This record gives sequence, structure tokens and C-alpha cells, in this order.
Amino acid sequence: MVESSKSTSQAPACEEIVIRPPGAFARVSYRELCHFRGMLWRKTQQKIRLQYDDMWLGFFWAVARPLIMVFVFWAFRGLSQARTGVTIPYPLYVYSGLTVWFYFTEVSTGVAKSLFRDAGLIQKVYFPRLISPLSHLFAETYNLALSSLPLLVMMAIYGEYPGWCLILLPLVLAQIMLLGLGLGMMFSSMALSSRDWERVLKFGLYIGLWLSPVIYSVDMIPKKHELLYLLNPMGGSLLAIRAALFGHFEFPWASWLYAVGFSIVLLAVGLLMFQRSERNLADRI
Amino acid sequence: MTEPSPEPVIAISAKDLSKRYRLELGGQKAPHLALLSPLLRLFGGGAQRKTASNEFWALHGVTFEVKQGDRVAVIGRNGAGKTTLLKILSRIVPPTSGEARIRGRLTSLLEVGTGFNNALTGRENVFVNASLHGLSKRDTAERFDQIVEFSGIDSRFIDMRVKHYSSGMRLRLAFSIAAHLDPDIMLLDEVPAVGDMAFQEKCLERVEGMMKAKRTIMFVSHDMASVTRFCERAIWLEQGHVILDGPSKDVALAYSEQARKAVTARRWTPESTVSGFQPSPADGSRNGAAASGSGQLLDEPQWKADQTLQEPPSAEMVSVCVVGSDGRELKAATVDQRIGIEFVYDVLRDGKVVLPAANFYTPDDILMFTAVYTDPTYMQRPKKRGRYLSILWVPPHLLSPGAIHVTVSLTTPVSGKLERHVVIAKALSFEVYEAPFGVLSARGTYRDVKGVVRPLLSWETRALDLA
Repeated sequence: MVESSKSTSQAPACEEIVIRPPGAFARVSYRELCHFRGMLWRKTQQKIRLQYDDMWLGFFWAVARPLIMVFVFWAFRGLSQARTGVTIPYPLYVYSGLTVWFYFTEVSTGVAKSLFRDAGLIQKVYFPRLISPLSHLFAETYNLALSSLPLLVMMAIYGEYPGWCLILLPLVLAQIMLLGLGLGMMFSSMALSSRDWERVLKFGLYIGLWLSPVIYSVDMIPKKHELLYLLNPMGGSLLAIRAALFGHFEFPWASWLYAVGFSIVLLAVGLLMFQRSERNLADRI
Repeated sequence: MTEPSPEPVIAISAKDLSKRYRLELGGQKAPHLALLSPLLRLFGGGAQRKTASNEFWALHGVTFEVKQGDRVAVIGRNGAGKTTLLKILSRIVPPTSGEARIRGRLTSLLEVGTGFNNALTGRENVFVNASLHGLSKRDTAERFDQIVEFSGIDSRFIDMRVKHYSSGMRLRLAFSIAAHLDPDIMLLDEVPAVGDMAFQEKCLERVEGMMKAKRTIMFVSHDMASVTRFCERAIWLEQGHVILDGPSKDVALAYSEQARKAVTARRWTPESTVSGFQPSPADGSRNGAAASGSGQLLDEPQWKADQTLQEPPSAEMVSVCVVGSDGRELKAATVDQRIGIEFVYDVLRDGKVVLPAANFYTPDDILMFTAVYTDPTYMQRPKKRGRYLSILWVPPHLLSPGAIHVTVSLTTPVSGKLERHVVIAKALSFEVYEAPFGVLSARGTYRDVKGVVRPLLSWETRALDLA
């Protein structure tokens, strides 16, 4: 839609902006995104600051949901003697699964809604529209960092330490980030034509919690269905997270690499859809 | 900006900009199609019916250039496409076709206080807001004190949340940020008038300061006073077309004249016989200077100082009127209609040759043609004192669609020159519309043909050599 070109003249105002009808495949201008990094940073900061605005217990709320759910599942397991197939201390397993899972769902649902949340700005000011989903992604990543602090404490208490696979943790996290971003961007452009899609996404993610190895081990799945089960890319991601955090697990190369491929494809589709809906965004919001 | 360069730099250029909207009528699409449409669109389908009826052109072939340091106003009625133009230039919406180029750092202020967040403090909002307009943190920090001082907000309040501010304080702070962005090109939707009198004065001073600094300013306004005050040039948009582009004073006058709607009939003298008529300055029949309040506002380019009116006049205009073939008054005409200009005038002295004449102007004030009396036998014949009626017939398929202005006059030819008794500039103006569907017109099957006039001519084609 918009290209910028630096002209050769020495005048300070040498930037020329060309405005043309958008082509079928608009490119993402990373240069422009870079120019607006100040805004991206500000918006991320603003989101972080405002989510626990007027609250004294900000940190508590950030970690409360996984902690409470860990307690519920732990109590449930203890009382019902249900098998979960988990070989490490159960609270560690559930807490690590839930924080990552919640991160994934918050990123994708938040990104899906980000265009509507910034509608007022989008209709009045020009900025690279990618800033909306990206600032949300970064704010959620900050929350993930906060909620992983109790995990460190718990790991120390239970004496569970990571193996060499820890070096893969940033890569696994990046893959989950991209998966959530891709999914969210896909839905954000679909939500422009009908907001039903936001509900569809929420509902799908709710079901996804039970279809992913969050509170139970993948060993609970019958061997002949395991391949089908791991079609869910979050399956591979969660296995990889556990392997990176706890020395007990084999790193699930096959299923994680599948998840990486899936994330890249989904991100490409999401970006494409986002770009195509971005063209007439201000007219349609 | 460096020292003024000898040849003016173009800050904004728009070439044939058009913007089409599809009217998506809510609830007309089947729900399953509505849900799937984003997926269908992704794969190139989408099968949206492209009928002309649910399309609407907000802008249509808009072309103009703005030089660096120019101050240009965009005027026009609601829905004329002014805000769409500003939104395209500020890259909020893309054009459907055409191209625009912008040289220099551009800031658009479609609304004062966009992106202000109540939960943030004044200081944080300054930084967030400046970053929205692409100002870096360092630049903002440098200007921070100026911004706060300009806004007149007590420094005790600046670290307070904006939700505790009064609405005036919010607007003042928001405007101060905008005023300190210091762009090369500024797009404004209405010149903001915020705060009390003192602050408004300060805002105007600031705007004037930007003008002195040769900043390029383009703004949309409905207030003709501020148009003429701030801008040397104005662009008048009507239904997405540029109607007039020129000195702001002329355009503003033409616009306000048009806004008072077409004048298809005018009367000057009171119901009086010729003998009983006393010319009075108030009726303004001489040159229409004060004619019936609607006034004649534009100086005709053709009307030079040496062409003075005959004193005392030998004729007075009584009324002029646009009529149709049936002799009835016409408010608007289509291109395929015969249009008459009916003159009623009094000859005040016996034995004078008095002839009516009319000049026809396009909406952009171009003289299309002059119609003078041509019948040689009648032309020579002196008239008796009394009231006369003349009708000038304009044949169908001559005028182009648009607002036509007519200047009427009463003259006497004297040895190759004209003795003018009455000249009433732009006495009449009426709309000419496209011929109804199915009627042959000079447009043929094209969407639009350009030209000052649009005669329906005949063509002849013969095959000379057939393969």
C-alpha cells in the first residue's frame, strides 16, 4: 500500500511517501516498523501498565489463575486417585503446562481482538497496523515472564532441575509465540467480517486445553491414536517445553519440528490475511 | 527546511485520486457467506457482486498539487469527500485508484486527543501521543517542557492521571502536543478551537507561527471566515469532484453563493410602471451590487474599469428567469432540454436601441460563450419607452453538466462599441444534469467526457478499404 523511498537530495525533507491503491500482496515494511518502534514500545508499556491499573495485587493476579488451577487439579488428583501418567511432581507439571497454555490462549485471543481495541486509533492516525497485534504479544510475554517466577521457586522446592535441553527453551517459546500470533492474526481479520469468529476461537481454545497435554501426560493417549493426537501443534510444543524445563524427558524432536512447521505456515497465512484486511481496515472496523 | 529554493517544491501531489465505497447493506448476506467471506477473499473469490447501484464514489479523479509552504483549505458540503481526501493523504484509508505523493514529514490531526488514555498521567500521555505521530522519545523529552507550558497546565497536575483533568485541560494538553510536533506538512480536520479565549488566541498564534515557518498546511473547514483567514488557496469538492481550485477568497465566495442554491429567477424593480418608476439605490438594478440581498459577489474578469456604465441609464432590468420550452420557470435542466433565458426590462427613453445579452460561465468560472442579439433588422430598430420581454434560447446538447452561471446585461451598440446600461454578474445560476437514461447525449456510452461545452455533433464513417 505504501512505499517510502529515500531520495538522493540533501534536504532534510527528502522522504517521499507514495500512496497507491493496494496491490494483492502488500509487503510488510520492516523499515517502517523500525521507525515506529518507539510507538510499539510505548503501546506495550501502556498495556502492561493498564492491565492491573488501580490494583494493589497486580503480581498476585498475574500468577493467581495458574496457581489456583494447580491447586484444584492437585487436590482433584489426590482425592480421586486419577491416573495422569505424570512422572515428575504433579504441581510442577500442571503449573508449567498451564502458564504456557494460558500464554498461548491470551496471545491468540488478544491478537484477534487487537484491531477492534485499537479501532479509534486506526481510524484517526496512520501507523503500521502490525503494531496492534505485536504490542499485545509483547505485553503478554511480559506476563508470562512474571508467572514463571513461581515455577522457579517450585522447581527449587521439589529439586527438579533442567537438563541440557534448557538451551532450546527460547526457541520453543518463540515457536509458541508465533503460533499464537499467526492464529490470532487469522482470526482478527476474520473477525472484521463477523465477530462470531472471536467466539469460535475462544471456544476452540477451551476445548484445546483438554486436547493438549496440559494436565495429563501424553502417555495416557493410546499408542495407536498418538499420531492423531499430536496433529495439534500445541501437543508438540508442550512436550518440548517440559523437556526443556525438566531433565526427565526426551526432547520430542519429531512432534516439535512438526509444530514449528505448522507455526510458520499458520503465521504466513495469518500475515497474509492480516495484510489483505489491513487495506480497507479503517473502512470496515 | 533550509533556505528557500528558487523553484517551489511540491509537498503534496494527487493524481486522479478516486475512492470507491461498496455499500454493504447489513443483514443482506446469508450468515454462512458472511462467516466464510474472509476465507473466500483470501483465495481470490468472495464473489461480491459489482453492481453500480451499491457503489459510491467518495472521490472521483481528484488532481491537484500543493507547493511547499502553501496553505490550502478544502471546502464543500457534507459528504463531498473532504475527509476521505484527508484520510487518503494521511494513509488511513487507501485510494481505489490514482496516486498521491507526499514529500516531507506529515502529521494529520483528524481529531484532537486521539489516543489519549484516561488511566495514564498527563506526562505519559504526552509521550504516548507523540509516539503515535512518530516522534521519538528524545525529541518528545526535548519539547516536553514547552508542551506543558503551552498547555497552561499547572506542573503539579502533569503527573496526575488524565481522568482527573477537566475536559478543557485534556483538550489543551492534546492540542499542545499537536502544536509541537513540528511537521513539514500538517493535515487538519477543522482548525481546532479549544479552551478559553486566551488559549484560542495562543493556538491561532501558533498556527500563524507555523505559517511564517513556511509549513505546508491543508485543512478541511466549513467556516469560510477561517478559510479566508488562514489560506491563500482553496479547493472546493462536490460529490468527490474538484469543482473549483483557486484563491481562497474567490472559492469561498463562489461556495457560499452556491450554498444558497441556484438562482433561477430574479426581480429587481418594484411592481411599477415605467413612468412611475423611481430608481433608488436600494433596488440595485444598475449593477446588482445590492440586488435583493443575494448580492453579486464576484467581479467579472471581463468587466474592466474602462467599461463604465452609461450614465444615466436608458434601460432597467426588471427580472430575469430561466425557462423551459413551455415558458415555465425552470429550476434545473437536463442536457437534452432547450433552455430559455427570459429578460424583462424597461426602456426608459424613446428611440433607444436596447439589446439584452448574456454570458455563460462554467462552474470554474470559465466564460463558455457570449450570446448577443444577432437579428440585424431588429438590432437597428429603436425601441419605444416601455416594458419588453426577450427570450434567449439555448439549444439542447450545448451545455456541459454542472452549475451554469449567467451574467445578463442590457446594452446599446454605438459605432462598434457597446453602451452598457445594466450588467448583472452571475444574475442566474442553474444546474444542468446528465440526460436521463436512454436519451442520446454527447456523452455517448462514456462515463464522463470533459470539456467546457458538450455539443452533440454528427459523425460519418465510410469504409475505404476492406480486407
